[in-house]
Amino acid sequence: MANELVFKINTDSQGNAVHLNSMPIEAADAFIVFLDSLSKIAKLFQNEEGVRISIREGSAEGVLEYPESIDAISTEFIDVIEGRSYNSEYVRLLKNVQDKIKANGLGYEVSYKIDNSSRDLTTEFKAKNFVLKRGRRIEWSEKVDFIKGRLFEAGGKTKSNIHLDVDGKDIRVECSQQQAKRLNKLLYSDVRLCVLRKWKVEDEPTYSLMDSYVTEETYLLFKNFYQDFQNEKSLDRFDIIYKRIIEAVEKPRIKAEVIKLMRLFDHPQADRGVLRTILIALKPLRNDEPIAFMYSGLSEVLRAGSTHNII
Amino acid sequence: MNIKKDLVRFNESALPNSFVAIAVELDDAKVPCHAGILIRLNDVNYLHHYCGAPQLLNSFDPSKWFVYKIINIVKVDDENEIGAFLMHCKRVCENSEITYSCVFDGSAYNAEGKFESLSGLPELGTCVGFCLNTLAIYFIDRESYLQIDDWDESSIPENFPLDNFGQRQTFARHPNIDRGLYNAFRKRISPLDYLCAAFIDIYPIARQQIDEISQEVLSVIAEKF
Repeated sequence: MANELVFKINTDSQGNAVHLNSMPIEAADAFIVFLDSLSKIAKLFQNEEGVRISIREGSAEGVLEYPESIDAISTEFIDVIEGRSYNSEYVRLLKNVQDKIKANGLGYEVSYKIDNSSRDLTTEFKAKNFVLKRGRRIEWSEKVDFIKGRLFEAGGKTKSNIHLDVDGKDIRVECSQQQAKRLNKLLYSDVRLCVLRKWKVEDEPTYSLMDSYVTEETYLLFKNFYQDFQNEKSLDRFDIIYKRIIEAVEKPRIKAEVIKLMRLFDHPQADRGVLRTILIALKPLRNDEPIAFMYSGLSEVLRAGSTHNII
Repeated sequence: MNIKKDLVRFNESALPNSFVAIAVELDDAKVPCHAGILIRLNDVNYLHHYCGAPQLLNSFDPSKWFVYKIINIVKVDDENEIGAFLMHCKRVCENSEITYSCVFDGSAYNAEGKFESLSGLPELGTCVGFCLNTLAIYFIDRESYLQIDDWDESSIPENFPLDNFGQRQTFARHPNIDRGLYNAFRKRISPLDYLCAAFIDIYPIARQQIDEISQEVLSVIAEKF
């Protein structure tokens, strides 16, 4: 049995049944949009065999038929319905159908049949707004980690890095030459670091240095703060950040602590709400060195992830 | 700039689930008469505005509200970024002690939601001023949003009831206010100006740029709504 995606017009705006051999203009317009979208959806998967468009009588019914073996059509379709699709063209085509269904008073029916199981999607098409999941498709995962280990190597000819023994495991952490030189003074000593761990599925992770801490007290201070913060899922986390920044600004050694706080969020997938909150809290100091350098860096992270390259 | 496309109405279909927008209420003649900031977070709507008191509402009558324009500095559908903006509005409302007055001096609410006066005047403003002062700190790439010197006393209509009301409120609450300073910043940025500014991308926005599109904005409102 073929899978099916079905767009059907049952009645016109007066409630009369719609038939292919006698369609009001409004129904014909909607039917053209449906067929156009089905045809273009089919073309999105033109390398696949067995995809067909059919028009059925009884009411006005446009159907995309495709073999059960073509999972992508079904999974992408469900992603659009569930609002997690990155496929802008597929979202656009289904939104065209949705806009028609919402726009006039015809009686519509949308359904799909996947693996012999049917589902009526008319309500979803009427009630939801299909949106593109914006932002770049994230090809890697990243996580901020706090690690302690014995530093046994620092340097590198073309790529600078440091090597740590962490509980018997060798960890290589990429860093700048300046950072490598500075940490080299701690060779064969224990070091405390904040690192960004990046990985792709089934790949070994890579590590890059975000910050280092001289004392255990400072290490635990930032580690505990960050971990507590990550566990706070409510919007209150933004208040936690701004209060922490405001407290730090009022301390005598403001700059060191503020910069260390900023470094925790200086990575591409950082929470944009946190970045915003830090940037507005420190806006009055944005031109003051050494905050200006980190301020500019975090602004760039926020800007790079924005839709219009403006923040 | 596509005013017809970008100007939308409350609950218009096919809108994102989360965004921040410049919003206005229309009077019976379909002219903007009140200003607010609409925040939609995961399909829940919040209205940040000043109407007698600063308010962040999550339940309001949208029958005349809102015509709005989504702003592009806060990333659409980024729940974290929009959530952080909502919390900023909450802090502003918790801290604001604004007195109604047709005064705008480019002051702003800081990250704690506290009013920071630029001119030395106390916290004064209209519904528009309240919204602009809330937004001001959010512009990272811009020094200022409006060219405020382009508006002066002449922007206040003659015998404008809200100006008279504002003066009474202000002088009662701040009897020792510097009247010279007050008059220096006495001006009205109308809800229509506020809405029009949202379509302009050259900063700081000059009044002339707003005047050039205000009739078109009114025409689109009349046509669409």
